[in-house]
Amino acid sequence: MTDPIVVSNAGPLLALAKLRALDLLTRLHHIVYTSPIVFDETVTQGLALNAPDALFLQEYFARGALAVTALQSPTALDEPIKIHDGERESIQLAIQLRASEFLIDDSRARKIAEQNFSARKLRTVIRGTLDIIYLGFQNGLLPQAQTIQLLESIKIRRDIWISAKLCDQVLWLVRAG
Amino acid sequence: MRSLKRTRSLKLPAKLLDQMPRGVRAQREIITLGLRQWRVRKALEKYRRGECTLAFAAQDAGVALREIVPLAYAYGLVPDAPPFDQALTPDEAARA
Repeated sequence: MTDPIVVSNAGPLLALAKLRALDLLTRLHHIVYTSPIVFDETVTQGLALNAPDALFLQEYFARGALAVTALQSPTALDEPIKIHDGERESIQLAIQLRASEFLIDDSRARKIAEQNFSARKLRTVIRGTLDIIYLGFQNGLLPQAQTIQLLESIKIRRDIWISAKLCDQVLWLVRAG
Repeated sequence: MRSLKRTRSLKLPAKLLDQMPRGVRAQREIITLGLRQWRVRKALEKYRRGECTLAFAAQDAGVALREIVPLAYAYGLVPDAPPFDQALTPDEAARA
């Protein structure tokens, strides 16, 4: 059986790197692909800002757990609202690779990804950082206490763009076991 | 390479002008900082109106995504909260 193809936008990589939880991603997925703009955004720009999470991400790229893949012939997307070049490139890369999973946190960009995958009859599953954490918990990679700690931490952090309400929903599921 | 400089006159309220430092370098710094803040505010307003993603707002304002996230919170914005309905089925969990 071949490994599922997973493409990630910047958000989940940044969030997991800030939470020191990138290992979770690599334990769930053999390799995660990103577009060149996402690499620039997460690593190059991060290093320029002396962001510690950029160093972690650089290490995961160097190790091959994260891999940059260029777009061959980008397909035009239906974009009802304005999205970042990196978001566009990530969605296009997921389409190009016919990814089985696409990781993205921004709910508006996520909707655009859903629409475009659906228009191309792709059955790509879209997940965000909280899905990764919850999957880690479900698969026994994260103990309950650590899962709760991570989710509570996201709720109060002001450098991670994930809804506290959404964290509460996942916390409820985790506490319910 | 030296950057091209242009001159533009601007009438300011006397009260504001009185607070301006005398030095050209300081005045330039004020304009640079103010312009950055203004661009961020305009971009975050676009986000608030639902016209773009937060990453686009960062791009529009000329700042990194890392930089705009704390600014967005400080501006009183919060991330959208779609229902958490992904990745919960046992089948999906098993596939991961």
